[in-house]
Amino acid sequence: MSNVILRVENLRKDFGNVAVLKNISLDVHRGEVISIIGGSGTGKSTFLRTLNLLERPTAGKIFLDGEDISTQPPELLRQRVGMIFQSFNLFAGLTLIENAIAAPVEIKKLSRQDACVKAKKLFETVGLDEKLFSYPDELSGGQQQRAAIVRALMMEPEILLFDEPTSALDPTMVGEVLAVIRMLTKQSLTMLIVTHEMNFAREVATRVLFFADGTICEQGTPTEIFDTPRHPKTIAFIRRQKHFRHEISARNFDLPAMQGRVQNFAERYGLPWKFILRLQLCCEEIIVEMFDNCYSSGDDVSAAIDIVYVEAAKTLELSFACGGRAYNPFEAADSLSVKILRGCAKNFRHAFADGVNKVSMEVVAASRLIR
Amino acid sequence: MKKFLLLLTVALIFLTACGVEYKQIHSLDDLRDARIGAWPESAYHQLARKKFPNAQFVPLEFISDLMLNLSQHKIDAFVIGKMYAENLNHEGNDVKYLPESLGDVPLSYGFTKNERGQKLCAQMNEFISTLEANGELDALRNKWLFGDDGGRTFAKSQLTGENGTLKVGTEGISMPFVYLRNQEVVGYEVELLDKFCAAYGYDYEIKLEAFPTMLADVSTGKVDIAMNALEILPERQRNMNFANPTYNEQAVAVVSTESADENFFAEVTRRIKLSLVDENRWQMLLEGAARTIYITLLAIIFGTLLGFGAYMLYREGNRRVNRIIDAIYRTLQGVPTMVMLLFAYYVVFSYVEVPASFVAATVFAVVLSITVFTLLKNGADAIPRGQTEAALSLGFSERQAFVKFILPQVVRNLFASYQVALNVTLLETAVVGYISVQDLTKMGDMIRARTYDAFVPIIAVAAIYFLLSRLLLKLTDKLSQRLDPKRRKREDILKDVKL
Repeated sequence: MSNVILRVENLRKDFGNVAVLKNISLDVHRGEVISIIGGSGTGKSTFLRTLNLLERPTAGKIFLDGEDISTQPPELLRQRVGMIFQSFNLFAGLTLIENAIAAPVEIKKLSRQDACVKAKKLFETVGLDEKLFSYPDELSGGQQQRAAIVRALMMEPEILLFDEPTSALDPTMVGEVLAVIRMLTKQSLTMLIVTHEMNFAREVATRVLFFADGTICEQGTPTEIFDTPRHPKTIAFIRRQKHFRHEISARNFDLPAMQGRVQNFAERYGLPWKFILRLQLCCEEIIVEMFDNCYSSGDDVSAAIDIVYVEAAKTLELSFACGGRAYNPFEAADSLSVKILRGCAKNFRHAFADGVNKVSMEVVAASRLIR
Repeated sequence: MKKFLLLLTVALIFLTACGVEYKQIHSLDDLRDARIGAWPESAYHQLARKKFPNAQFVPLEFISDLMLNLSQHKIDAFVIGKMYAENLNHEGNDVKYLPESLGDVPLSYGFTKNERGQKLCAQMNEFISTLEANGELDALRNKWLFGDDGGRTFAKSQLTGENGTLKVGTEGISMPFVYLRNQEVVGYEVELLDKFCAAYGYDYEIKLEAFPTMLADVSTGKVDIAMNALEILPERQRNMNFANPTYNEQAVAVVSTESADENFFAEVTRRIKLSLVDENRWQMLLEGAARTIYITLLAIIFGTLLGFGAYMLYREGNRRVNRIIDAIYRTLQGVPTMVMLLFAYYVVFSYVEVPASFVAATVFAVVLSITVFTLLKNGADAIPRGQTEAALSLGFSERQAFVKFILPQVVRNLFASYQVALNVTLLETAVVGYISVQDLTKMGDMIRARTYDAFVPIIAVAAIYFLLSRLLLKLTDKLSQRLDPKRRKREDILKDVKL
């Protein structure tokens, strides 16, 4: 029990009518490093901010070391839980060393002498001992964030919360900040890190939380989450999959409209135009081939096109489902349509179950068309 | 500074070189369709209007204004009491009055219309009759009204004040009845009052105030007696009681005489001597400047504290309190400072014995506090919320976070605007004369009223305001430099620490 430093029970946070966090429960053990990942607007940052009472929970309880934090002033909680912000938030008009010693001197009543010595030591460990008398606006973003980490450490917090610590940095500075955080993970500090740096999240964490729609959708070890995710949303996020679906309910459906939507979808992810043309060609040929063979003329048709683009692997998967007779286009003698499909895609699969034909293939970028 | 002096010289040449041809007035007949200046709705105004129904009347409040308008030929003549007219020549002005009288104007003291006032009025009537009978009144008249300037002196009686002290309001610019000489109020009515008090066991206390203020004060009982060579008019009798006439004045018309050619520098020197050197009038300006500084400093100190306090209260976030603060400040923002001043003096502080300069300082403090409040509010909103959150996350309270980390930035960012507000406060105090505070502007007016020369006092007053304003700016600039954290030396930042 004493091993649990932070317990969250049925935490809920509403902004107006919008529920941003829905019934979140979590136990954090001493020394754990937890990475929190998930898409934008899924409540990761809000969750972190409620842990520091920068946002008041609408419902639910938070226990720090077994004590309900709502029973004491937020200042006492915050002295034990440090926070690092996306935009650094160093105090303008104060030098780095003044930024660092302000809280320990004023709140912990540490002597200025001791505080300065301690601050200097910490600034040395993050490589900023040359900048003690610099002002925040004289420093790069990476330097500012490292100074902000020192400022939080000066209070000797039991838990350190990182709210997207590298999101406001340009790519050349991300490394130096991550290096400092990595160093902290080796000091058995309890940390919760909201981040979009997937490799970093995987490397430093002992546990990974995946947030979706205001809840913890899936959690586990980095290996579980990144290599064998189970929840479809986790899978989509980890593999960075993008979905497209178009449903067809008439034989003389509006083909150009569908092709327009396909093009929009593909362009959004920056696919080269030759790849897009090939995708559109595959869509058209599979529809023609299947409609010709599955339905008699005059039958009602019902079909759907699904396209999944996996951003991480840059692969494009096309699936087609329709009713009618069972028909596997890749078993029969090749029609012209099938010949074209074989030129544009690979990994063909077909299945028929419950009166539905399912065909899938992977559209390829390189040309296989025979001239 | 050079520019300022240049401007001054140009203005000086412009004003003195205003000699143009004008209509010669020799008798009252010439005034039938002339432009005539007069104190608005005074007995003189009323008499002249009856006599010259076709003339065009220009209302002007002070003899100095009448004189200035006459010398610039904006009016052809003005009507006034003969005694005032007699004295206009004393200071070497190029005017004369026409011998024919427009009519009689009885003058006297005004008393509050209450029991005390009625008693005082009756005592005064009794006293005047006694003096008339024993010839003392004639002696007084001969000394003050018909005598020469050298003989116009009197020693204040030893007053016991056993029956109380009379509060006496006056403008103090009605020579030879009630006027200021060497910063002392003297004159025919003053000596008469002094003798009255000696006879009836009163002491008296003279309050210098603007004419309308004085009328209001005597009708509300803020002063017991209005001593201003007041014309006994039926309209005024509605608001106050008059004693029997102390003197029966004649209304006369004052016209300009041909200006004797004078050397430009001799003219300027004469006017400067007249306005500033004679009777040590420069001391009045210094005294006025001191009062202006006093009011401004009080207003700055209390206005800043009040604005800051209001904002700190506002930050607490109590919705009802905030709505009240908002409502108060929105209301005050819509009221001219001048009106606020009158309101404070006549309504808020009407029944409390508070010095007028304190009332003025209070009003200007409130006005400044509006600016301070608004500056703080807008300035704090402009600082990104992140710094406050960072301070909170370290364990500071909202208030500590604001005072320690946000406020210094707000102050630094908006100090220039604050300086402007302070300067505005200094210059705006020029209106406090309306509630009978003898500030710099008012002192200039009083010199003008005595010498009938507007130019030198106004320039002198402007120059002093300019210097005060520069001084304020210089002092606050010093402060502003200390607000810049980057000007600190490295040794000073951690001077008590060894690294």
